[in-house]
Amino acid sequence: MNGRLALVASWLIVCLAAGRSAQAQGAGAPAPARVEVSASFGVDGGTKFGDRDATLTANGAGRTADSFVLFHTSTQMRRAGVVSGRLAIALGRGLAVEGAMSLNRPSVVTTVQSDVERSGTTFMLDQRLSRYSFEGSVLLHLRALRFAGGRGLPFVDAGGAYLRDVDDGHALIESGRSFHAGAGVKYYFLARRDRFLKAAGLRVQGRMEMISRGFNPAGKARRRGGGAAGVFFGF
Amino acid sequence: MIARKTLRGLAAWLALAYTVGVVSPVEGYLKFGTRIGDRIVSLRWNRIPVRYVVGDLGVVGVSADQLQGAVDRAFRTWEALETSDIRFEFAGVTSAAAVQGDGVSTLGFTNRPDLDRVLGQTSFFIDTRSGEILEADIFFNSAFQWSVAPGGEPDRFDLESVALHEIGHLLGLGHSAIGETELRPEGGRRVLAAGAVMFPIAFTAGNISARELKPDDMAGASDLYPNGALRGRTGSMSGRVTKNGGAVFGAHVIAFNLQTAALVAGFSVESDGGFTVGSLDPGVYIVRVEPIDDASVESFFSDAARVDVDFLVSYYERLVIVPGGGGTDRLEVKVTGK
Repeated sequence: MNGRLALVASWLIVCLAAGRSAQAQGAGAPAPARVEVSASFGVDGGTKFGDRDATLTANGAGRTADSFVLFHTSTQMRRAGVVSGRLAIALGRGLAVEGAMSLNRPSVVTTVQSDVERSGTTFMLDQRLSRYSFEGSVLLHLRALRFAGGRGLPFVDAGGAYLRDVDDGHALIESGRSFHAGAGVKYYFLARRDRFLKAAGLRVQGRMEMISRGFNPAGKARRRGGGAAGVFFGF
Repeated sequence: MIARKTLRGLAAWLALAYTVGVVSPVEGYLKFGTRIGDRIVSLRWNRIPVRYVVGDLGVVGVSADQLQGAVDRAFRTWEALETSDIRFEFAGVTSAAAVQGDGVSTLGFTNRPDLDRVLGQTSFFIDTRSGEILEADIFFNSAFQWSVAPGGEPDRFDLESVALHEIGHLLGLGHSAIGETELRPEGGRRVLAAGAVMFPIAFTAGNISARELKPDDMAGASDLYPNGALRGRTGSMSGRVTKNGGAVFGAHVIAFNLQTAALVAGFSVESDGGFTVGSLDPGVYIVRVEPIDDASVESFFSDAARVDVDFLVSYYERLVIVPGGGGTDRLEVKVTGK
């Protein structure tokens, strides 16, 4: 939770800095296009769902019962590649709204240990999921922090997403939601004002997410990080 | 002490097994069943509420009124299951001994010192053409020391706990194998832990923790007497257990819910090693398969010779997703010999 607060606070500070310096832009630097599409490939970090014991009620002469552990489990979602497509619309002065659709295929792995009848053996059980994410973000370009002669343009973004998790057998379809905040850099290879294709370049970004519901054996919100790199085109 | 290794309901199961001789493969946890033609039908009550009378004999430490109170609490515990429609009706007190076939289900104390390992026993009268249970009598063996104290009493068996187990049989449920035991130096087995009221070996005298139903008990009762309005809320899993490509009969299949930690189990009881575990809450499950090595195989199967206990505990290689109102099938759990 502290990490999330720190992230949000950092993002707000950057936003304030961007607003204060927005008046001082250089005239020759590439400006974000009215409409921008991008595609990226990245990695969504893993998530630990925690440990859980299979317990029985222990026998005893006493009136209260203790637990007897039949076996111990630990479950996590492993990091996985993610492909995304994005469409951004500029609202003016560096601000844009962005919609994105992403797909990744993480493995959920449960490790079973300390089985009362196989104590020395570790079992690894898994299940592959398809996670579809439909997100909306507000993106703020930090023009005052441009670098490389104006070709490098940092940005911050924040938003939310609707998640849809489906297992390979299509027995599970879980919905969830996430909130994210992050930052990144666009590097312009092409910037011109009088053509249909106004801009093109590379985009690199990182983010932190808080995810609730969806596939979630732990039943509580969990945090994960991620990063992506790709290309963008401005029109 | 003899009571520590008491088997509950074993004689009832054997008696029923001799009469009926099969176990229903319809769902996982064992249910009493009967063969009608080429079908196996679960034994169940069709006339609900199930009416019962209680004997008017008390024993040292438990009066007749206290017997009735303990039995009533046990019936109410089964009735309280949200996912089951089973209902009971108290029809009075009787001084008559239970008579099989009189149509009256009677619960009471009977002195059976000859059954030195049996705390209680349930016997049935069924319609073999339909599988309908017409009558079930339960006796509690007054050769043992009993208690109805709210917190239990040392060296006395808790009557409500044993009544809860026997009423499970009355419903048509067989024994659950969710439990661990150890061999006693003087013979027999001692229960280390249990995950179901229907486990065939009682907790130590003085222990009252079997007054509460466990998920496996709830799943069994909900499967036999489902609440129609809630049936679409639960799901099932099915598959087969194999060893070297061949079917394994009598393997104990445990489904562990990763979200709720509930344990619900069944057995591979079909000729191809097939199993089904039903009445499961939707969610993500681990499937563990073990040989029956606790209590005795005869506590669970009349056809004990067919039961394969020569394999190691194994887990299905995937996490299993159980959807609400549906099922996940074709799971194949491969086990290896010891």
